[in-house]
Amino acid sequence: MKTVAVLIPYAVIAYLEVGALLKRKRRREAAVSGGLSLLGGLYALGVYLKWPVPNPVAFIQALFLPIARWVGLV
Amino acid sequence: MNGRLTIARGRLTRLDHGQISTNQFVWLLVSVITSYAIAFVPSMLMRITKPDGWISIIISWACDLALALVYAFMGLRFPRQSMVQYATSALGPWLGKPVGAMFPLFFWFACALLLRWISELLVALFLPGTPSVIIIATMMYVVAYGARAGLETMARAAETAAPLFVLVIATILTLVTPKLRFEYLAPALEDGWMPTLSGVPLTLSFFAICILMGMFQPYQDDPKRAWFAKFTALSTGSLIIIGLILASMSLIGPEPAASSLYPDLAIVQVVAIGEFFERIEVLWMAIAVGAAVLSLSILLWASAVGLAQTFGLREYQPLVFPLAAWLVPISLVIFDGQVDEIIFTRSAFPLYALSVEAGLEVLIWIVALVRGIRGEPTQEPARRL
Repeated sequence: MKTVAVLIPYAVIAYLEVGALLKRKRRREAAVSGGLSLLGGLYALGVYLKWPVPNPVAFIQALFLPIARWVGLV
Repeated sequence: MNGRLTIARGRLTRLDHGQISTNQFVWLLVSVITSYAIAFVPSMLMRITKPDGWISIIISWACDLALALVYAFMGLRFPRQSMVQYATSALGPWLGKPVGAMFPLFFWFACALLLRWISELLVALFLPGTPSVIIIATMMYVVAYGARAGLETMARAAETAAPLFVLVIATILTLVTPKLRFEYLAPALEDGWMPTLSGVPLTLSFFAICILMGMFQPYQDDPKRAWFAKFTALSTGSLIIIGLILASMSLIGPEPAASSLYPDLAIVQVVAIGEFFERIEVLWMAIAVGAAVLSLSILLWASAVGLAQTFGLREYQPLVFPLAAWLVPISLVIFDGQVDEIIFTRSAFPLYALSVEAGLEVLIWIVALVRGIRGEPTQEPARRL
């Protein structure tokens, strides 16, 4: 039940935004908006179910921490 | 330089139909600087530089103004285009689209950082026991509502609220001045220039979030005054941070101030007029939350507009709520705790931020100059508000 509750806000946003856009035949906008809602919902579900969701901070650290060490910021 | 002049043509839709004055431009940037100034800069900077933080801020101020020259120049070279759009014009669609997309992604990530900080502040000091997700989700609803209303609406809100933020901070600093012990600040540069210089990337990375000027400039009624607007906003923000750093150092001493998570709060706690006007932390919280909500709206607007321009959409509003909703779980999981946050903000964040804020823009600028590319001159008349 809680799993469904996590997804409700994303489903409501997708329904309202995509529905309104499709009525006005804005298919590209509907695809991007719906895609973002889907990804956001999956991410939230992943966080709730403790899946190994991608963490942007970990990615940035992996990319820039060696350089930060090299230039002496750490 | 091949001497060839290429006029970049393409689909240059202005997604937001608002227009802002230079005054509003200034207050929008002041709101962003004030929120980051209160949130990250004083506590992080004092850990590195101890009493010499104000020198780091002056150096960062000068560097950021130099960077603003590039943004102002590019804004005039590509009239009515944001940096996301002129990245494609200058670099071509294959390289320009991914490079341009880095800007909205950066704004979106900056949103997550600030959102996490404000939720931690509220939970730690004012709403203990409240789940962070409630605070973040509530705040994001307000933020998304503001961002969806458009730049002009946010500009009017900033024009009203940001002067109040500045006034309250100035009043607090004035009231606390008799209690300051300036001998704590001496000697200056005790450990040489290195600690001071290593504080510059951190400060500059937060100041340079004002590359938002590259998103505002197409909507400014007089784009030639963009650099002046940035100069005014940045100088105001720098003075606020210098005041906060000097006051907290002089009030509680360099070591306690440097080890405190919220050194600004120490200043507010000692403010008292007679015996009837004291404990004004709530006023401080109102400024921190108000400035943060306004900044988050501005950053979310910039990320939605930038992303819509990357995908070639005709409107940005449908992206605002999905982006805001995704920020809620992101801001909950980005850090395991405050130690992680401090390490990240001091080490990897300045390099990431500066590579986007300065690196990408300078790259676009050089390529545009070498290829002789400029934007199509606009005939669109500026509408006075």
